[in-house]
Amino acid sequence: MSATSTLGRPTKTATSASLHSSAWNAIGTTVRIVVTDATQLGSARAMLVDDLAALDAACSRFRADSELMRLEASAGKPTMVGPLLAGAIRAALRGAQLTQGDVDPTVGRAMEAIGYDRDFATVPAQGGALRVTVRHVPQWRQIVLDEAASLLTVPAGVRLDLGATVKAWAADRSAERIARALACGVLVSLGGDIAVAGDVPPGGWSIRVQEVAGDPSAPDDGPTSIIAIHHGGLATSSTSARRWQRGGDVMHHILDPRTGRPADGLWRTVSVAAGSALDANIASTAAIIRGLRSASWLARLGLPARLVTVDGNVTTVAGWPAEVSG
Amino acid sequence: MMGSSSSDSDRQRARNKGLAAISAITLGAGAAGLVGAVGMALTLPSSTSATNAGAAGVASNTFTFTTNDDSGDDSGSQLQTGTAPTTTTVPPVATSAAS
Repeated sequence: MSATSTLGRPTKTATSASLHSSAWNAIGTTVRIVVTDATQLGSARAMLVDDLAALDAACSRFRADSELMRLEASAGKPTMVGPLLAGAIRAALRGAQLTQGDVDPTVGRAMEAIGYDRDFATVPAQGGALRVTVRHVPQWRQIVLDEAASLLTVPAGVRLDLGATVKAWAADRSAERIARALACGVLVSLGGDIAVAGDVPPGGWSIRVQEVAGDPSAPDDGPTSIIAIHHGGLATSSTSARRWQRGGDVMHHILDPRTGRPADGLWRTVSVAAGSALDANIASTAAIIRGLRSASWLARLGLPARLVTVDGNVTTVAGWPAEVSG
Repeated sequence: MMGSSSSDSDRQRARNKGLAAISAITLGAGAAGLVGAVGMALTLPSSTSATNAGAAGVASNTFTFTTNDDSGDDSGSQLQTGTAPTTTTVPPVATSAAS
């Protein structure tokens, strides 16, 4: 039904009578596009490839020549930025504002301090003990984005990490753009942050929800749910992915901005459905960091969600389908 | 969970004033700790309850939350909601997971 992704070797496979997909790796993660019109798959894929190349050039923390990294030479002065980086920054600030700083893009230095200082594929899985002093200032409020003038001001010494929100934001952007251009239904998945746009296939977009990315046709890996969405987006955040060890301490990529340490709460995986992949991702990431109170927070917001405790127990809120036992 | 010595509202006030929180962290085998922080006990908010669904056909480890507003926390109120997901028997075409 679907294809196995191999780095640099995209695959094209009919997923059903009406859906066709292509999968590959880019921007340090897995990429999948699904369309409702087989004749548009090649064009859709090409558009997404172009979008991701532009995204990487603008927003990568791991490229010295990216627009994001070149910002640091500005040392706190207002700097002209392109529309792509401005949009990604706007998305990151939206996440910070709506979570009262729980999802904060100014964690770049803290992320490096715990060892995530390069593309994750090249981060050593094991390493010696670290002695890290993190001077943490909740700095997202000090980032000034003047969109009318396309000017961005980042305090000197602050390194931005847009990783928490940029994939979801890009998935929304590309899905909308491709669906509009090709007049068909489109699903874009960037590392498991999923956006859909355009025509909806019969029964909706069927999606497997699990903890660590994998091919949708592969055997279950841990607690799994299969659901359908019709609009908007779906995102999963998990401490089970992007893990490494330093001196016996397990690290992962979701940092609590208050401590500069990997979040260590009740939930190991949270999936949220929302009006966009960006908002789903903001909510799922914040839920990991917020811990116990996340379930009631998501329920109160009316955001359907599935939360998995560190012990593997599953909680659903706000209309997320209950999981039927086999 | 790493501890915190202040409540959410305290932290928010500190943020609003632009105050810096400084954490010294030592990471190492058996030595992980947060200097100057105190542990924070986890308690279930009184207005939140988790009930084991327990009904036939529902996985025994599946819980359904019933909840009321528990904290006055209005964060996220502008997050866009969408239609709730539905169950399906159609084979999945994508995977939502961390990667």
